[in-house]
Amino acid sequence: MIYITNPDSPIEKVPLPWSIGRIRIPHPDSLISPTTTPIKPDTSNEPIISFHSVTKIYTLESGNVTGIEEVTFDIYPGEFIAVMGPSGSGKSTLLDMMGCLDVPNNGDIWITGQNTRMMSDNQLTDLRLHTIGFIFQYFNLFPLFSALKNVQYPYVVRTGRSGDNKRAEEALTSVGLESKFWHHRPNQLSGGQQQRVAIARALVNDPPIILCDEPTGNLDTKTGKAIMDLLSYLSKHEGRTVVMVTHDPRTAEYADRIIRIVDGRVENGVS
Amino acid sequence: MTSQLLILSFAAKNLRLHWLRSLLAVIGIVIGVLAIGYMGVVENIELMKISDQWKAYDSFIISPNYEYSMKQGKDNIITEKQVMAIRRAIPDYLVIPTYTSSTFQPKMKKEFLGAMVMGIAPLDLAQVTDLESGALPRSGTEVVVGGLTALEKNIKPGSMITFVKKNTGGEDEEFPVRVVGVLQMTNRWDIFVDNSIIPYEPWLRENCDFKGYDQVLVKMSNVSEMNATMKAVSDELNRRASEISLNNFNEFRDRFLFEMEQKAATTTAIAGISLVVAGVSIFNVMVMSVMERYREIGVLRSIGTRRGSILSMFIYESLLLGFIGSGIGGVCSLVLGYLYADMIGAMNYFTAPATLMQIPYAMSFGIAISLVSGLYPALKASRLNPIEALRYE
Repeated sequence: MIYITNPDSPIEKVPLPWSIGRIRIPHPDSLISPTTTPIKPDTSNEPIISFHSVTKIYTLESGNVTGIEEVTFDIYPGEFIAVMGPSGSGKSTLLDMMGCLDVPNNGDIWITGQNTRMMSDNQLTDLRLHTIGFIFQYFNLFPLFSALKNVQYPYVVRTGRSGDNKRAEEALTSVGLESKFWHHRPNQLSGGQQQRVAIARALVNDPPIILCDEPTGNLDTKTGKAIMDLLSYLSKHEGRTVVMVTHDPRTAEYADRIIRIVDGRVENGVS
Repeated sequence: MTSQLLILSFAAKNLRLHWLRSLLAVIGIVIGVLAIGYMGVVENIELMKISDQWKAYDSFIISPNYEYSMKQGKDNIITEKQVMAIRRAIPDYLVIPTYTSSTFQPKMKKEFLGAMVMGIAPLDLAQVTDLESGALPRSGTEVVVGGLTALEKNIKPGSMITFVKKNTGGEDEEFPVRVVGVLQMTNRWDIFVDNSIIPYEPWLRENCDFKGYDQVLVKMSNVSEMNATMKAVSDELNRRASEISLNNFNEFRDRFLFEMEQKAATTTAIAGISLVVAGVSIFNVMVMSVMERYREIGVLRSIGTRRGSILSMFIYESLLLGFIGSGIGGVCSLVLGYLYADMIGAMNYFTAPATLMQIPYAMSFGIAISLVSGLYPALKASRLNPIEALRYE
C-alpha cells in the first residue's frame, strides 16, 4: 500500500490506488514510491462534456420554474471541475443533466461525443453505466449488501458475468478500504469508509467521468480531506474527469477550475 | 452471478428485511392455495368415487305412467300382458320384470330390517348381479340378501330371517326363512337389489297379493341401440295412450355428475376468494416496498440499471412471495388430501393424476395472483423519475 503524506499533517495518510481497469496496476516493488506523474487535462481534443445553450424548465402546479438557462460550457478529459453557487441556483440540475438523469428542454448536451438529446431512456441508462460514476453526499449504498457486493453491482449489470469479485476487490483496494471491511454492511462502516465504498462503486466500471454531489458534505474535515485527495488522484493521476458540486470553498480548491452558477446561469464560465 | 440473479438477490434480501409483513403475505397465499388445492382434491376424489361406483348402465327402465293410472283408476303397475307386449316388441333383449311386496316385513331377532322384499325370477336375478356367497333360493323357505343389507345387518348364508305378514283384524303370521346366499353389491340406481331380500319368486307370488310389476328392466347387449329400443317399446305400448314411461338412467347419471362438477367448480371459486384477498395483501406489501425504496431505486437507476431491471426486481419480489406461499400451500394440500383419502379409504382416487393435478392448478393460481398483484407497484417503481427518487426524503 502506498500513501500520500500530507506535509502539514503527517498523521493523515491517504491510501492511494493500485489503479484499476484501463489504467495501471503497478508491480508491488514499485509501491515504495509514487508510480505515476500527474496527467495534465487534455484541452486540445474534443471536450468530454459539452453544454450548448442548455435550458431546463420544470413545470410545476404553481407554474414554470427555470432550473438552468442558456448554459454553455465545455469540460475536457482529465479536468477536475467544481460547480459552485447558492442553494437553488441550478447546480444539481446541471449535475443531473451531465449524469443523463434528465434531458434539457432546449439546447444540446454532448457526453463523450454523443448527443444525449435524442437518446432513449435505455440508451441514457447504458451511457451512465459505461461512462459515468456517481458519488453522493449521503453515500447511497445498498444497506442490505456488503461493501464488496455494493461495488460489484454495477460491474455485474454491465458485464452480466458471473461472480467475478476480482474487479470489485481491486476497486476497493484502490480507494484504500482494507479487506477486513469488504464483507461489512454499510451500517457497520464509518462515514469515510462508506464514501470510499461509494467511490469504488463509481469506479468499478472504469468510467471516464465521475460526478460528485457534495462528496464531503456528510464527513468530518479530516475524512473529507482524505476523500478529496482520492478524487484529486483520480483526476490528476488516472486522467478521469471529475465534476463536483460543492458549497465548500476549501473543497473547491482541489478543482482545476470552478463553474459558478447563479439563478440558473453560468456566471463567468471559467474561473 | 448474472445481473438477473443480482436483481433477484435484491428482492430476496428486501423480503428478509421486512420478514414479518412478508410472512403475513405468504400466509395469505398459503391459505388461499390450501383452500383451492384441498377442496379440489376432495371434490375430485368424491367425483371419481361416485363416477366409479355409479357406472354407466347397459339397461333402461319401463315403469307405469302414474298420471295415466290415476286417471284410469287402475293400479299403478305393469301387467303381465304389457310384459308380453314388451317381449314381443324387443325379442332380442332381456326383459326383467320386478316387483316389491309390502305384504311381508322382514325381521331378524326382533329387529325389523327395513329392507324391501323383491320379487324377481332367479334366472333374471343372475343377469343383474352375481352371488357373493352361497346359492340362489330354490324353495319358499330360502332367500338371498342384497349386498348392502347383508353388510349393514351382518347377514351371512345360514342366518335366519322372519317374514312377518300383517293380517288386518287378525294375528300376524310369521314365516321363518333361511338365508342361502348373499348378492354382490351392484351400486345400481335402476334396480334396488342391494337393499332387498329376495325370496324364491314363485313362492312370493303365491303368498302375496301379486297384481303386477312395479317396473321392467331391459338389459341391452348393444348400448348404442338403446334409444331405438326404447322407441320400439314406446311405440308398442304407448300407441293408444301414454301408459308407460321409459327412463334411461345414463342421462340422469350424466346430469348428476355434471351438477357435481358444477358444485365443485363453485366451491373452488369460493375458495379462490381467499386467494384474491391474499393478492390484495401482496399488493399492499409491494406498494409499501416501492415507497420505502424510492431512494434505492434512484441510486439503481443512476448507476446504470434499466427500467426493465427495476420492473424485474419488484416482480421477483412478488413472485417470491407467490412461490413460497404456493409451495407451502401445495404441500399442505397434499398432506391434508392424503389424510382425507386415507380416512375415507379412497387412496386410489387420491393418487389419480386428475386429483393430484388439482394441487399444481392451485399453486399456479397462487403464483398468478401474486404476479398480478405485484405488477402495478413494479410498473410504478420502474417509471419513477430517477432524480425525484434520489431526492426523496
